[in-house]
Amino acid sequence: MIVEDDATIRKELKILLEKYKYSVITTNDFEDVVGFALAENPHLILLDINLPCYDGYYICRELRKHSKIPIIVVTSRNSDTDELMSLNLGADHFVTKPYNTQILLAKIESLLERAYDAGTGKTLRYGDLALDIGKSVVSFKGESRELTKNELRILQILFESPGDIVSRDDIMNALWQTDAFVDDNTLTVNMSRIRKKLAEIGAGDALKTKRGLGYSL
Amino acid sequence: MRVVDFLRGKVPFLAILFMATGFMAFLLRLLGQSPFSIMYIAAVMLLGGLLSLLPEFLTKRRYYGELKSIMENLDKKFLLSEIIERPDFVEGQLLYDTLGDAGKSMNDEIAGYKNAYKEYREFIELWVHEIKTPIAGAKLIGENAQNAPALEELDRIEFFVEQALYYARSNAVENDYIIKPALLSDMVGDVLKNNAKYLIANRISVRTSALDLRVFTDVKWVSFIIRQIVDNAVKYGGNTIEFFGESRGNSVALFIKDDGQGIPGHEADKVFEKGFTGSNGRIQGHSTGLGLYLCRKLCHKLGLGLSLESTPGEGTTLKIVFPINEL
Repeated sequence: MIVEDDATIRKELKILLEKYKYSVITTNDFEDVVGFALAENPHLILLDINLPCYDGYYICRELRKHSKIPIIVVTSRNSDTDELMSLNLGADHFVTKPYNTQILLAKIESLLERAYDAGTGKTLRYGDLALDIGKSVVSFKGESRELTKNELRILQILFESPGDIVSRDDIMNALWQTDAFVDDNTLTVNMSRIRKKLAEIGAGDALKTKRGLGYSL
Repeated sequence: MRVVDFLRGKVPFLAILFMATGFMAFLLRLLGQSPFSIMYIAAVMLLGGLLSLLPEFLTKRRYYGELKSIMENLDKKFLLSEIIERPDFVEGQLLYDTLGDAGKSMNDEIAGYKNAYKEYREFIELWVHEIKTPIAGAKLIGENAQNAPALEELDRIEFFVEQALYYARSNAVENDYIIKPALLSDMVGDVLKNNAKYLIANRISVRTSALDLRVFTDVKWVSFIIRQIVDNAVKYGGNTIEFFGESRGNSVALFIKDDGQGIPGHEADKVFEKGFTGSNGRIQGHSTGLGLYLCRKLCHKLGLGLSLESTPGEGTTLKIVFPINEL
């Protein structure tokens, strides 16, 4: 659920999150956000601080009286006092605008995993190809290979949007967000290792290269 | 105040005293007094006249001596009139009252500027927060439309907006900072993640090593400083940026090394000055002379050391030194 008074951000954030397979509800009535949130009972709330009627701090405090819903505070104020205040009032994370969407998505994912145990034992599938995130293993028709952290992350990105072309820059960006500051050459090495492992289990043609554009499954 | 200086101000008085004594001696001589008694009377008169000046001299010497020493020890000299006492002699009182009025008007003037400055700073902060919402909106639109060049431009806009905010805040760092233990790797990682798109698009290779060091500082300000330095490295032709830490006794140093075009030796000291763009800046054309100036100013306020080493053609290394005071 997104609580945000700026219509553009509300709309675009909804599009973005829906692209990543989250279902999103929004509201443009800020009189009783708390009541609305409690009635809808979402898995997670993205909460802006500057809102009409009541500010985000108030909403955060009120929600915490009734519920343990994970809350990420999203705000354009970025002083330490704001951060401290949000966390003191029971928010789980604090993100400043304009946000890096990769970081926002990562925070949403980790918070959901922590709150609902969704991450453990998660397996992504594409045809007969399966990617076990928990064990860091890729398998195809009974054959399997272990993956390094970077290889797993790269495959995870490709599995999350099957069929779409993902550019090298986007892959690098995603890797950087996990503290792996790889450069062009390292990525090329990683890609060829993945290709080799896929070939060993008989899925050599699963990974396609679009010259000048990127990779896709 | 020296005796000579004091007497110099009393020349008319002394002249009249001597003339009167001389005239009296002349009269006494006409009346047939003996020279010895005339000299005796004249000496008594002169001595009496001079002695009558002594209390005034002592009072003034004490008062002005005090005034001078207060002035010398005063940090904000314009506050002098509020600290000194009102003297008990009339010229001093006149001067004291005048000085008091001048001081008051000065204080009003300063207060006016302080207020105007504060209002302006608050306006900038508010403006920056306002503009971040449309930037965030535009970035999301770009993200959804997968328009990488537009996103890059928006990142640049954000960078400059941020710079304006930190510049406005840089004179009041003490109002907004929290010292916490932090790892160098966290601060460097933060900057790299937030600027990943820009760095990747510029084909920058990043190496990090030995960053597992703990320092006590304000993460937000230091991240801003690192970001400015990284931005410079990219702007001035770096292909590789290397981050490494070093612990030595009571300090931890963070090195940021690039392989860009470097800075000529005679300019190395000046790059921290406001508005200095140097020969590189002139060649590049979009140097503001602001980044490193802000970095040094903020480092100073945060109690960090900042220095630079550079070899033209080989690159530049910036060093941030964090003092470690384990309490």
